[in-house]
Amino acid sequence: MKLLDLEKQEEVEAEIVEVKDSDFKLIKKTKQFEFDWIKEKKNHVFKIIALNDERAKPEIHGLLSVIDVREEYRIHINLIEISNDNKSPNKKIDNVAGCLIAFAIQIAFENNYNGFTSLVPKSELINLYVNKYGFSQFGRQLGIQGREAIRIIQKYQ
Amino acid sequence: MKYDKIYQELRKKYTDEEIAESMMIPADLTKEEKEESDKEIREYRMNLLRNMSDEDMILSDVMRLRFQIEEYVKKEQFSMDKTFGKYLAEYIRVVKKTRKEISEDLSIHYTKLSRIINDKEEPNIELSYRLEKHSGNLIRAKIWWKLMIKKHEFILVRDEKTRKREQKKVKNFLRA
Repeated sequence: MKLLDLEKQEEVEAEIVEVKDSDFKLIKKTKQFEFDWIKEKKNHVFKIIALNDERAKPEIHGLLSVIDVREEYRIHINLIEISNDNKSPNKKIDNVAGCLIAFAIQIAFENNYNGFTSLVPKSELINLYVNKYGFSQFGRQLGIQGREAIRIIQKYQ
Repeated sequence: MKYDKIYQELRKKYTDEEIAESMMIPADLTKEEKEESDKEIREYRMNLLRNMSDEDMILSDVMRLRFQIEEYVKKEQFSMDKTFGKYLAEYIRVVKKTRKEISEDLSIHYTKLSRIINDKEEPNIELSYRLEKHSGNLIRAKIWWKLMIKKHEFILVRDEKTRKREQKKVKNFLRA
């Protein structure tokens, strides 16, 4: 995974790992995230950190909450949020959301779901997700799979 | 309306474009709406699965293989069951070709290919580049190369016989 440091205009190698129980308190304490991530604990929650961050508790640049819907061979993105420092317009690091989406798609390939990844976004935001990431709309849901899903992975990994 | 409340707050600070760039916020659906939405996606998903082409399935399997190799290279210890040759054999199975067909696709002699698959001969960088192209750039040459390195590293630290033989040839070495 490669993030983009906007200040230095250079790529930063990053990794996405599962959020531990102890991380949830820290996430709340830093006040870098608007949503209550403790409520996502019932799902699989992942964090993205820069590999060159050698602090004991590396800065979390973004969070991803996914649900494995095995009976329908799909990964469902429940929530993605980037830290406040990286939200537009004054963001320091770019590509955080793209890397997290690519990671959700990666899980969908690893689980043999043909990369099928879905979400049910707020209706006001549907067109923006369709245009930015190439999701297709069907009813309330958005989905991506196959070649479109591969395109996202090739772009962000 | 657990997500909507925060979304409305965010809209005071950010445009919808900025929100979409940095978040994926779920809709707050009622129980009925959720059931309807789940039904829609279930039907759509099952229909897609029924109509998947052979090519789609191959691309999907190649992606899965790529992530398996990446995971092994990054996190696991070397294993003779996970060499370049073993993964090459798996790649050939995944793309549904015979060894003969692949040897022609890659412009490599059939016997040489078989020797590499059976770990009787070491692959070279050139083969990594060819495999990258053959996989539609889905499995990069770097990943194939890392498989070779992993094996060489494992052998290098354990091969006392070669170490002693080669080090006997060294003169004027530093006495650290």
